Order: sequence, then C-alpha cells, then structure tokens
Amino acid sequence: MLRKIEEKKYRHWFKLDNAAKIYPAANTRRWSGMFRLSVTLNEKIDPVILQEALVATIKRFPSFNIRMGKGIFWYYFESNIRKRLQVKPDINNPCAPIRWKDNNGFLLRVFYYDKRIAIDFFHSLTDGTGAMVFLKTLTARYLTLKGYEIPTGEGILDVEEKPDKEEYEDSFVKYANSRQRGRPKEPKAYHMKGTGLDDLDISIITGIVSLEKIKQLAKEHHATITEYLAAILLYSFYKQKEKEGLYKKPTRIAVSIPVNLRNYFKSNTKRNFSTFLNPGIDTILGEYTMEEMLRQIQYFMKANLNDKVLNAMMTQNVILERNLFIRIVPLFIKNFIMSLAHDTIGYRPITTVISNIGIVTVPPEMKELVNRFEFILGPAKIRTPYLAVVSYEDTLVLNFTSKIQETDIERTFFTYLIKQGIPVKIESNRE
Amino acid sequence: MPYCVKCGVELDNSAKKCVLCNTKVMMELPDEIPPYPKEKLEISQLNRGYFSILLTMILLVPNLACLVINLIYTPGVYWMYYVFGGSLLLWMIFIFPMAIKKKRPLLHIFLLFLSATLYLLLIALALSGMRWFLLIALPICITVMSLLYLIILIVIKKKPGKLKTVSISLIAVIIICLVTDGVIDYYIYSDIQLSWSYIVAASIIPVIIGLVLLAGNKKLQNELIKKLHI
Ligand SMILES: [Zn+2]
Repeated sequence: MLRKIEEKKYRHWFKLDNAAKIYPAANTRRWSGMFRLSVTLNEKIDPVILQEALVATIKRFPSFNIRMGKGIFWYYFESNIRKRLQVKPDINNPCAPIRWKDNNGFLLRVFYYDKRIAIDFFHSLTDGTGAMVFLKTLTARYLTLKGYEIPTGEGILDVEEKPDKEEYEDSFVKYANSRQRGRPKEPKAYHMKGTGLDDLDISIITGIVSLEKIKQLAKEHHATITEYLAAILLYSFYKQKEKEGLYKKPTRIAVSIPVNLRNYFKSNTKRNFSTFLNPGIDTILGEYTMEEMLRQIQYFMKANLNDKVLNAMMTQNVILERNLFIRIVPLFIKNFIMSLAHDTIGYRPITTVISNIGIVTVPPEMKELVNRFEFILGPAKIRTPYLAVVSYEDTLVLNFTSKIQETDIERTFFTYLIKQGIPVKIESNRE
Repeated sequence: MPYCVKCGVELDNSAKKCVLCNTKVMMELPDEIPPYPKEKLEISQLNRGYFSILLTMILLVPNLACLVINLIYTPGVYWMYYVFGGSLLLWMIFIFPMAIKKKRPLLHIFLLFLSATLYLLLIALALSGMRWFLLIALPICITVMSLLYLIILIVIKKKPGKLKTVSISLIAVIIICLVTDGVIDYYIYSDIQLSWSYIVAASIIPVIIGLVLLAGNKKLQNELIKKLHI
C-alpha cells in the first residue's frame, strides 16, 4: 500500500511484498539478491543525457524511487524523492552486493559503458518483468532526449503520466487464496563442487545465439525454448555429476525455473510477482539421455503450470507472513532466522536456476536503435552457475553467473549447442 | 573474428583466450573495447568508527558508576582498579580491532600485553603484592607476548603450512610451561628447580618431531587424510 502519495508532508512508505522479504534478511557484505538488465544501443551512451532521462523515469516508478527502512518488526520501503540516483560508469562485477546507505539509499544502480545502459536491481524491488518495463521506459526516454521520436506502448510507460495504483500493488496478497498450501515435498538436490572466487569477483560468461535457430531446435523436440534450454542446463549438470559420481548422494538434480505469475493472474504490478518450479531428475534411477531429461522437465511443467497449483504455492508464503506469532517477532530475530533459512532450506531443493524473461519487444521506431538486451542473475550463495536468458529480435543471450573458477558447466552447455549446429559467440568479464 | 579451436565457439575480438577452456587465441587483433571494464565496485564497510565509539560509551557507563560508588561509600579503599583495568582489557580485546581500519595483529598483541600487564599491576597495587607481580606476572606476560609476537611474525613472513604452524605453537607452549615452572619455583623457593614442565616438554616433543616429519612427507599426509577423513 502506498500511503499519502499526494501529501508531501509525509514520506510515503509501503510494505515489502511477500517475495521481497527474504532478500534484506539474507543480505550480507559478500552477497545480495541482485539481478541486472541491460540494453546495448547502436551508438555510444551520453551519460549526461542518461542522467536526465533517469531523473524523469524514476519519478514515474514510485516503487523504485525508494530506500530501505527498518521497523521494529519488518523492513519497509520509504520514498526517497529528496535524493538523486546518479548514473555511474559500469563495473567489472555486476550484481555486486548492496548496502542500504550506499548509492544515496537507492536499491538500484544505473551504469553506462560504451553503447550499453545497465541496471542492477535489488530483487526486493521487483522481478524481471517489472525491471524490464523500467529499463525500456528509461531507454525510450533517453532516446527521446537524444532527439528520436519514440512512442509509448510495448511495455514503455509515459513518464509524464501519473502512476496507476495497480502498478505498485502487492499482487501476492491480492491473489493468494488457495485452500491448499505449499508445494509437494522436494528432496535435497545435488550441489556441484567448485573453487570459490574472491569476495568481490563474479564470473560472467555470455553466449549469444540466434533465436530463430534455437526456436527451430526446440520445435523439433516439441518443447518451448525455456524447457529446451533447461534440459541442456540439466544435461550439463548431469555431466558434472557423472564426474563426481552419479550414484553419490544426493542424487536429485533439479533446475529451478522462475514463473511469471502475471501470465496466470491478471496483474499489472511492477513489483515482485513470480514464483518458481523445480523440475529435475533423480540419478539413483539410472542413466538419463538428454531426451529423457527434456521429457521429465516438460511433464513437470505441464502438471504444475496452472493457476491452481501456483496459487497453492504462493498462499503458503502469504499465510506465513500473516501469522500473528511470526509478525510480532522483532526484526533482528526474524533476520537471523530468515537468513539461516535462505542459506540452507532455500538452496536445498535446487541444483541451479534458469530464468528466461522471454522475447523483448520495442516499438518499430526503436528497433534500429537497439542492438540487444541482456539479463544477468546475481550469483548464487552456493557454488553453482545460474543461467539467465533474454531474447530480442533474432538475438538470444544466455548469461551464466557464478562465484567459481571452473567453467565446466558453461563449456558443456555451449559445446552442446555447437554440436546441434548452432553457432555461439562467447563474451566474458573474466581475464 | 577469432574462434576457439577446441570448443568451436566464436570469441569476442578483445578476448586473448577462450574462457571455456583457456585455449589461447592465435589471431593477432587490434585492441578493442572489452565487454566489461576492469574497475570493480568496492562495497563500503560497516561504519566501524561509529560503532566502536558507541561500544566505548557503553563500557564507560559502569566505570563511571563504580567510580562514584567507590568515592562515596568506600573512600580510601580503591577497588575501582579492578573495574577499570578489566574494562581496559575488554576494550583492547574487542573494541580496538574494530576501531582500526586495517588489521594490525602485531600492534594489537603489544597493546594487549600492555593492558594485561597494567591490569595485573593495578591488582598488585590494590593488594600490595608487588612481589608476585614482579616475580610471576611480569615474566609470564613478557614471555607470552614475545612468543605470540614471534609466531605471528613467522606466520606472516614465512607462511608455513598448517602442520609447521602447529609445531611452532607447541614449542611456544613448552617454553611458556618452562618459564611458568621456573618463576613459580623462584617465587616459592628462591631457586629454580624445574619439575612438572619437564613432563609437559617430554610429552610434547615427540608430537612436534612427528609433525615436522609429516610436514615434509606429502605422500604420508595424503595417506593419513584418506584413512582418517570424517
Ligand atoms: Zn575453448
């Protein structure tokens, strides 16, 4: 709820949504729940104009124009209109940890580098869908200031317009009403071994492929792009597990796939509104072929991707936060328990994550000005690579992020694509 | 455009090697803008200065209270020493490392030694027991401090392995035992006749020899880890 938006006397504030609550608790000096969206244009970025565009854009997004506040029982977001969010030159370690006091209190960081505009978002603010609207609106505003005529629509908001209440509603609270709570019990999943990087470092390995070719390949296997890429990722971890011992416990390999709940419940929120499904295989049953892994993922997705099952999953969490006994626990104790839960239970049922925010569309006027979009997930606290996917026109960008030195998963993944006849271009922030 | 001959992937023009397999790029290419800059975002640290001042204030409160009580109720008998010395020691152990920006173990050890000695001196003054302070407390303090100093110096400069560090520490334990035994003897009998410290030394020395031998033998280490791992 946004209180007193008109009245300047009070700073308006609102509660963190259900998915947002875990991130400040799990935040440490070494790790923050972050993700990055970036756009590469066809011309060099002008930081002065970008700054101007940012000032106009952030006003349009009240749920982004905030800083973190600490209450006795919960964190809250408080409007941060008096401070200014500054654009900065890009960094080598995207998704670096965030501190509440840094960056004038803002929970997002805007960078520029050569032809790229990049934004690191703290996950409490929003999910990939909400963040993409912000990036597209900022980019459109930037291009408008550069003198191009860019219309609104296609996920680009008019920055002059007043924000609609629906855009910053907590959709979890609105829709979670299932009588069934929670998800079926999930066994402990395999976590790969790896050598950690230095605290500040993050490994980013980007693969750029043709969307059309991947689409074709997925179609041949009667699968969606996400399912097909998830299967290759699962295959890569399967190959890794083979090296470490296929029958060594835990034997389940599970890939966590975030699900955009806006596709199943009518919501226009720019805040978090997603959950995740964890399909996978159990190698105790024997050896798997790539095709079998793909089928396992598909069956699981088909069985669970519907509003009823998804509602039950989110109701579980919403019920928890409504519980009076949980609510009256002081924040520092909640923090302690939640961070512990995040570090243990949170990673227990998953081996890795693949997040696909799908195909980004822009108005025709913007098309020839934009080269590509990129999506980067912040690294896991455990030592495993995560995969983030986004497509634009014919460019599908696959981004692996991790805090480990080894690149075996990435190599298996990309050479698999090469073997299927798909050319891959690799970029990285590594030396 | 460069390709990795092993993986078959196309590489960025700025790449010197393939990140997937570390194969070097053979093509000579003009320098191009790499995909990411070199500069890393540094994370600001917790405001330690503020925090340490806060803790110092908290520590000052009981001290002031005790001082007032001491002056009003028991003038002439200064038990305040204990509280003050203890607080100083606490401050040195916990708050001082927080207040300084860089880790400075050698300085920390020295200041710890000073405050511990001062604390003992205050107790000695309060109990008018200068003799045990000079004969027992001071020598032991000096020995412990100089040994710690030496060990930290060796660890920082020479970077010995875990096994060697343990051996050095065990030698230090022997020396501390010998000194303690010696000064107590001298305090009681005004004569040094080492007794129990011999037993300690005799039982530790074989362990040290074993560790030193083990440190030089990688194969044996590997074998032991294999058989004994939990
Ligand atoms: Zn290679």
